[in-house]
Amino acid sequence: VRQPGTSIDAFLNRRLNDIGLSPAPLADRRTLLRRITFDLTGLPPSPEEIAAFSNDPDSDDKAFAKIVDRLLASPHYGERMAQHWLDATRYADSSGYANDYERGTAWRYRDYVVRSFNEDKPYDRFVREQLAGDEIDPQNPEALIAVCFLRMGPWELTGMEVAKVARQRFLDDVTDSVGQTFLAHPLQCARCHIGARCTSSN
Amino acid sequence: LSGLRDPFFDVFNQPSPESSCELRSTSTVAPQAFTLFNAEASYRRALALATSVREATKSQDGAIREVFLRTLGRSPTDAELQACSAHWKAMTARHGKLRFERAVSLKEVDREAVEENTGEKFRYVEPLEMAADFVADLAPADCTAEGRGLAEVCLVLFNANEFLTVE
Repeated sequence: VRQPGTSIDAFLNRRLNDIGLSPAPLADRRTLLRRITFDLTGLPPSPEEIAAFSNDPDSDDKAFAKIVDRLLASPHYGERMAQHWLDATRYADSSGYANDYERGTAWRYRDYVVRSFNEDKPYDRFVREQLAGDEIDPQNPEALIAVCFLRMGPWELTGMEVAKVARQRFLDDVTDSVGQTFLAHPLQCARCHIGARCTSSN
Repeated sequence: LSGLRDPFFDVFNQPSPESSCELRSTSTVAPQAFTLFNAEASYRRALALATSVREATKSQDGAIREVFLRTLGRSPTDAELQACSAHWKAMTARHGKLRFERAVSLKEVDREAVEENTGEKFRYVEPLEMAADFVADLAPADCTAEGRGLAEVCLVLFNANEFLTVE
């Protein structure tokens, strides 16, 4: 059994012992650097970065900590992490359905999410800005971009639909997406029902 | 675009923007291998890498070493170097016999439509704003047979098992 490196290894070793397996050897620095660089930026490390890490005379822990700090400071970190949030908020560059009109400036919201991760924005502020940025700080373009979250969904208005009905449909979509994104619960039920007793969804 | 998703991302589990996705599904299916090997997007990236590497290196072996360093982060073994050299040579010979047309990029489109309320037909010319300053990827027609040959080697390395993660 390998000497535990971190406290997690002790648990892993005990379980491996129980089922009669021995742990795989430690990954070398090149492999470790590739893993962490793909994880945090989605990109492979450059040959220069591999050489620098492989030749770093510091201890493994200390050298690795420096790598993590460098990757967290990289602009590509925000680009990689934004993907998760944009999946949750249904990001698209067009409005969906039959017409699927271009949303030529949707990228401003995408870039806002990237910046938020890169600036290490606190989550409470991130949430507030997206729900009510225009109310909180109407003079701040960043706050106005943030509320684009509310209209990321597929919306379509055709000349055949009564505008008031369409507006209600869009508001239902906003309510539902706030529920799905922040409360892990669809709120389509709110279209017809009011009150805490509503447990149905979809 | 919502209605026309990039098939490359689609096959690698990009969720549809129709509904919120809290966690992408993971899958290992044959179309992923076909796409990564045969998609135009893959080959264009291979061409870009081959061109950049050829500008940065002087010898053929040097170029292959550099491709290994940039993709896999290590030097090739002797056997790998030989296999890649042979593949480069064979592919250069093959590409010498192929001809590629330059694609024409549209700056505007003719639109025909029907006014929803009156039923009247109308047409207009829509300038494509995005095409104005669009910089296209390097295309096969921009490269020599030797450059396209090295791109074939790059393509093989993009598809190497060293990019797989077993979880």
